[in-house]
Amino acid sequence: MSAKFVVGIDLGTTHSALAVAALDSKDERVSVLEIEQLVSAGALAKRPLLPSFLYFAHESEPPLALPWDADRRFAVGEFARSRGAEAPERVIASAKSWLSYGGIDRRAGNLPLGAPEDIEKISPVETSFRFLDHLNEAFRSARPADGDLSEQEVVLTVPASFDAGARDLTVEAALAAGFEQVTLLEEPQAALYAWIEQNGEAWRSHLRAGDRVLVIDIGGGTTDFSLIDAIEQEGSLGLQRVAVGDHILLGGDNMDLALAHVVGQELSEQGKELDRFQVGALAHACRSAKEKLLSDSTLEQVAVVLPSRGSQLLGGSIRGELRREQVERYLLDGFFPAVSATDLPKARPRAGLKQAGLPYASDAAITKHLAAFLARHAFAEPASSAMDARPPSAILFNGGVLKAHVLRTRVLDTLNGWLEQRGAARVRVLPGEDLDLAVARGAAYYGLVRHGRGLRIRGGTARAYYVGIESPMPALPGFEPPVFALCVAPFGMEEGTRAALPPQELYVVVGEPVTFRFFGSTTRRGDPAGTVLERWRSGELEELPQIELVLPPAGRAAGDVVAVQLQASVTAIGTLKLEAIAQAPIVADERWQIELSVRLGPHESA
Amino acid sequence: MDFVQQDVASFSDADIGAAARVVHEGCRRALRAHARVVSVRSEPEGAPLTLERASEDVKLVGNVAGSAPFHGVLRHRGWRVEDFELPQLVGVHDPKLVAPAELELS
Repeated sequence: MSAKFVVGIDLGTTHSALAVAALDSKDERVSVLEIEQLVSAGALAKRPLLPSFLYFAHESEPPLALPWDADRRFAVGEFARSRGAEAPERVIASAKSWLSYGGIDRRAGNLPLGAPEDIEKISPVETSFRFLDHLNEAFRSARPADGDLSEQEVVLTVPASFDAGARDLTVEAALAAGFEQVTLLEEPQAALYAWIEQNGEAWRSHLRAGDRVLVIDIGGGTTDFSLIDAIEQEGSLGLQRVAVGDHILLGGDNMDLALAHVVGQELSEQGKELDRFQVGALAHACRSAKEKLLSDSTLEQVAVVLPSRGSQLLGGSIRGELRREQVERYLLDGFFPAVSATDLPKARPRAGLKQAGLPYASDAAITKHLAAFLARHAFAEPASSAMDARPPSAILFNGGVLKAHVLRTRVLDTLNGWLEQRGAARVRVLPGEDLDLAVARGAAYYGLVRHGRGLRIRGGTARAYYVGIESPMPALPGFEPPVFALCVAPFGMEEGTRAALPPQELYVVVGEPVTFRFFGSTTRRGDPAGTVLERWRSGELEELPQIELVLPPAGRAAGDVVAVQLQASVTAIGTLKLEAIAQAPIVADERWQIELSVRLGPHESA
Repeated sequence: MDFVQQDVASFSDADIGAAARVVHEGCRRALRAHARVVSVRSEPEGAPLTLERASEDVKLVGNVAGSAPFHGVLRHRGWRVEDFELPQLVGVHDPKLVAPAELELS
């Protein structure tokens, strides 16, 4: 059955949203679908956003019933988030950050971390699947005549900084939810599509060929940067995504926690100790106090009141306050310091032992991360780069954090300061709306674009990919043999294309696990497939989770050594596919597909 | 519920003020989540107003006599609920239970 709609899904770290556009009408309007969800025990309501939290009911609780499932033992959305504050060991938060974290087996049941025994833990992939499944259920419930999301075209957004493995896992969750017609789209591109949709044809008068748009997306849990160029293309205007930033686990939640810490410290100095519940309530209270201070410049302080734990509201409540000076010091100067263009984030010290946990950004200064991104892609002359180093001329803000005018102004002033120092013009601000919902809207609009209704942003893969090859050299005690990097997928491969077959040969043993080190680079844009790097500059290549493959013998004897070439292609969905092709095939077209999102830890045979 | 049920007589205005902030913010959030409330009249309060014909929207007070048009001073703008949507109840829950007791396990 052919799809009637395109559905854009923003599967966010802290919130998800869903937007719909009709395929069979001339009307290119995109509408946001409010998502039915449990908002408190036994109460169902529609909200524009679905908080990305999953709560597991305890045996003492009745089922977390939904109209379409009376016996459900888990909940996602607003109730899951609020109930999770009361029983934190039973809730999964930030599943998307776990999905992109190669330090754990992302298909193994490991969430919630530290859950009590009665919970059967689930994997990051399964958690994402359950969010998508809920969105599907909410769609069916809201539009019973329109069937199921599996019958529609689905555009699912991912951070531009997601590597090939995290993209694969996202698709895996979508396929598990039955979304057969799924395509991936990078979130900053989705934000720009939303801006185009909102401006109609007028967008062409806001951007000219030669413009370079910096998209800054700061959500609840992550910060994402992209550069998109407006280019002359067969006589008309085209768009091309030319660079993406690193995956930075830093967002609005960190800011609320920082403020809660500041206010909590003050309360503690006054002899008011908070318990775990009140610390959670404090973060919420600080968020709303922060929003008031940021949106009303006449306020000097906002009271932060924590209700007592008992039923005696008066006498038992704890009162503190958040002052403007604190917001400016900790938020503006902590997260958005006015730094110079050469002030880069502090590198994370490499710890010998690592605690189980997400690799949060070690430097909270978003402006420093921005400086590093621009130093790499816009200001410096990157070696081996096919891209011209040129500063941005326009900026598009996205993400809930940037709804605050003060924060946008700080980012803008800092950036313009850097540009002026270089004698470049200030950036123009592309006015976006709905900073929470733009990604879902833009994703639905992109679905229309794929049907030829509007302009497509070209870009291809956001990284070049390399496998590590140990160089043949005599073993020296205490020294690891140097590793060379063989480029298997060049930067900017477009959907539906195949990389040239690199001339190098790799030898693998069939029937036994072989591991390859795997690297990505967002800066080496000029390396064709087959390039071998013997050395690279620090930070130029980022090591990704290892690739492990077991080539099924299939006609060969286990233990045989086979010469293969690795060939990359980009699927129609937008994921990277890597295949090992036998140099001397024993059957026609002998090849093996290679898993990019590998399992870590103890291996079960699949 | 905690606020209304508590005897406030012995507490200072500062204590009651602090509690009122919690109650105000919570009530406001709850109301806005379910209803869109708008003013019935947009004119400033205290301004003279002429009402062409009687209507349920505007209650006449003071020297209530005579027939339309009515000339007077707008004292209160009034409130009207434009959209109203309550959450739907699902599952087996006691609707009379406003807030369950809480038992913290450690």
